[in-house]
Amino acid sequence: MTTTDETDPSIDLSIDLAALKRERHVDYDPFAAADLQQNLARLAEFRDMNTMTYSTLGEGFWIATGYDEVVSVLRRNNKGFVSYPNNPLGEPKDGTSAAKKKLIPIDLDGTEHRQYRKLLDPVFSPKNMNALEPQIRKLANDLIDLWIEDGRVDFVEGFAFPFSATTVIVLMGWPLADAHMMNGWVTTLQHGVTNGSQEETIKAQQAAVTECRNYLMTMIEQRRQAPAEDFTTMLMNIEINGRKLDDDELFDTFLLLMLAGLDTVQSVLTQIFAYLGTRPDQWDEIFAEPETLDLAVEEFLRWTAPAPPNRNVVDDYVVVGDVRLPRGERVHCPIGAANRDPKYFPNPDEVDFHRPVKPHLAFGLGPHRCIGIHLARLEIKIAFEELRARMPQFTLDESFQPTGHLGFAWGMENVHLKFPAGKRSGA
Amino acid sequence: MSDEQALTYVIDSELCAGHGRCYALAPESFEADDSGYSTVTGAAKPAAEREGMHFIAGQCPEEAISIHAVGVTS
Repeated sequence: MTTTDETDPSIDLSIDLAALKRERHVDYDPFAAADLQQNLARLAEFRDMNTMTYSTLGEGFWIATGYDEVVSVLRRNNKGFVSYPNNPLGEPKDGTSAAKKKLIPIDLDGTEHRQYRKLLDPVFSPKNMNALEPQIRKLANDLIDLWIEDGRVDFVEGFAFPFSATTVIVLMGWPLADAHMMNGWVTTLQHGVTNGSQEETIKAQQAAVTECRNYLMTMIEQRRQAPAEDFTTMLMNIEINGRKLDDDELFDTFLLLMLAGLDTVQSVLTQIFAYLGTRPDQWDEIFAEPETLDLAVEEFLRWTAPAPPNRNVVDDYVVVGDVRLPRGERVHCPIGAANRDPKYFPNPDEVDFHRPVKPHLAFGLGPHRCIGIHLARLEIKIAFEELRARMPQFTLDESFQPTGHLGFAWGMENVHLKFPAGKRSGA
Repeated sequence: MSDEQALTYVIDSELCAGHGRCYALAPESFEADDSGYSTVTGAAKPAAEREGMHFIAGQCPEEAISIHAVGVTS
């Protein structure tokens, strides 16, 4: 039997779990449309009640809102907890085969997961990511060119979304000229057909998947003829237990890596620029001293952290906070709440580039630490620098009301900015 | 005497998950390997730098970095 903290005297083992679930019950929908700051304020109320509260939605799940509790769950991944199903509501139930398929590598655990990460981690090394910097800067500037003369921009559609979506082109080693194509497919997958019927949307999404898959297969075929030093080639050569990934697995892994990097970076950038649109003093502060940029990136990662991972108990029991969780219990870990635990972050809702630093958990911890960590930091840094160069002053356009949503990556929409019009690069 | 001891960082490779804060903040002491995981590369530091070293170690989200005495300097 594997147990953790078995002898901790502060844990009352006689407490009836069902009674505890009633006592700690909160109404919390992890997929709701919600203003992100209001949602964090609610999670802070839960934390004030107890760092471990319980929602009965779906199959029921615990909500860890304290820094220490989230750390203790994520660090014990593969040691008492597994990732799958990484859904607060439990196993996907819609009966489709796709819903039950485990995604590589995010849904895997243990030895199998380690094998994939050992092969994938080197591809995402800081050295490899830094080599992509000039191309990512070009992507940023190409996007800025499309609206810089207008003096206004729908920041999600004009920058945060396409910048995050097309970076995958650079990562995969595909032609930058194809970025608009990728952007089109991903837009359809994410948003469907604007003002279209559900049928039209499904049809368009199926077409986008087919086109995107064909494109990937073309790129793979080219590399079968002439292997390249890029991520596509790397993915093709991955071999686990003497077997390479088949076409379905290649496509799924590609889609996951793209979508995981898309929602998250898009959300972080949107939250940052919505905030800075009301705080020009802090926008200036980021660039006042050269060392502030790195501090600002880290502080904003703390403040925006969009991912709420979920973990499932597989040992006889594990202890989190003051709760003894038996096998089968699930813990929802909104990292944004952990990153605003006043135990470590005084005045946690304030953005302060010079706060005494406690490591934030934006990229998760342990074996499932975000594989794109170095790419994400690079993208955010480039976004800051290129937007500063082209759009040195801006404000939030208050004729639009930003909205937010929870889910697998908390996000924000309808963020519009106004600024003194600039010139296209090369114009 | 403790203030004559040289100090060195030690990384618990079981805990390191490759966040990269140490080699970003203290490139003179840490280096990324081919997977982005950290290794200690720099020379030992005088005990006077203990506080700064504790700050760097405290930046590791995995708490994988500790500081060890490595004997007596000149």
